Order: sequence, then structure tokens, then C-alpha cells
Amino acid sequence: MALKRREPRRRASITSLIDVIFLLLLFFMLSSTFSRFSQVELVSTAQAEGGAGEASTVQSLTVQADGVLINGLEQPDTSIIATLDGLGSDGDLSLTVTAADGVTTQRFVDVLTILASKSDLDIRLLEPTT
Amino acid sequence: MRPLRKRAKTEPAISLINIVFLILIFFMVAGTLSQPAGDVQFVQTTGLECCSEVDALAVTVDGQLQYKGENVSSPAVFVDQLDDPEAVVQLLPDRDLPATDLLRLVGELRKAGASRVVVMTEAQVR
Repeated sequence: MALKRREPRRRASITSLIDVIFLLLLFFMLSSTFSRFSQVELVSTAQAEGGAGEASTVQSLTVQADGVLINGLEQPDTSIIATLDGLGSDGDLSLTVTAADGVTTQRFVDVLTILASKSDLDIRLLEPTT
Repeated sequence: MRPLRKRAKTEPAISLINIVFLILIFFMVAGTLSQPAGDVQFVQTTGLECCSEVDALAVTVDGQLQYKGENVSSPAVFVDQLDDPEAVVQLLPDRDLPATDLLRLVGELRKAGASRVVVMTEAQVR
């Protein structure tokens, strides 16, 4: 029986390998993003019915382009927390938040972030009814 | 004269491939695949808990809703096509969208049956 002699194997060409790797690299470079996202929860007054029996003091806060109105009194951003601390204590403070005209989402979220640093605060958003 | 050294010929491209592999691995590990977010300038925040998965309804400056790169005609249409009506609705608003429009939109989403609504913001790394 005549055995076929195997030809010595040629090494696979490295050029095609590079081509594939370059393609992969290009794909990942173009499709990847480095943004990291956080989330801010929006709870509305309409959802507050369950807590209606609580004896919480409800305050109102209106976000303006510069500063906020707390119960109608204008305050700069820096004194929001101090003012709220003076209004109520120990987690029985409920805050209704709404936005004035001309306030951007960025500004609104900035104020929500400030409010979020006060942990025992119950924040409700007042949505305009249409 | 010295005899020429007989070394196994190494492919000169191998060092190149090594570098390219390194870059490739960097992008695979460090990046996450981006989703089409529409023409939205993200809201910037610092100091919040970081790194949520994003599968969000984008809202452009003029109030146009977009989901996965395609326009959505109304909040009700979006809530209707959700598999799980109890799911969290993620909003990705443009930073210059008027906040009153955002609040109105949240109200409409709730009316349409969304139970939890969150706003996605880009976390600034300091």
C-alpha cells in the first residue's frame, strides 16, 4: 500500500490574521462609549395617596433659573439644605417640587441632586395637569 | 569574515500585532457598546450612584421622543409597547429641555400606566 506522503504544512499567512484583528479593533473603537450613567427617580404627587394619613408637613419648592422658591421665599442654592433643616426635622418633611418656566432640565436635575443629599426627605414632583 | 547568522526568520509584523491586540483588549474591556441615543446632550451630574444600564427613552430639546434611534409618537405608544408594564421607564432628556416639558411628559407617562419613572444622567467622573 502506497502511503501518500504528506506535504509539509505551510504556515498560515499572518497578513489575514492582522486584517481580522484590525477589523475587530475598528469595530470596538467605533462602537464603544465611555459614558457612565446615573439615575434620578421622579416620584410624583399622584403617587402619594398611600401616605396621605401621615402627619407630615408638606412644603413647596419651585426651581427657578437662579435659586429656588421655598414656600414662596427666594433662596440661593447654597442655603436650600439649611432652610429645609429649619422647616422640619426627622424625616417627617414632605416636599412638593415643581419648576418655573425657563428652567432647563440640567438646572432641575442639579437641584434634585442637592435635595437628594438630604436623605430623610420625601420628594414629590408636581406635574402640570394638561 | 563571520558567517551570516542563521536565525529562524520571524515575521516582522508580530510586534505590530501585539500592540494592536493590546489596543483591542483595552477597548473591549473599558468600553461598553453604545446605544443610539438620538441627538441628546446628556444632563451632567456628580456624586450620584454610578453606572446604571441604559435602555432609555430619549427626549430631544424640542420634546421629540426617540427610542433606540427611532422616533416615538407619544408617551402612551411607548408605554404600550413595553413588555412589562411595571418596568422602570428610563428617560434620557436633553440638558436644555425645559423642565416643565419634562414634568408634563412624566405626567403623561404615568397617565399611560408607567409606575416608576427615572431620569438618566451622565455621571461625571472626578
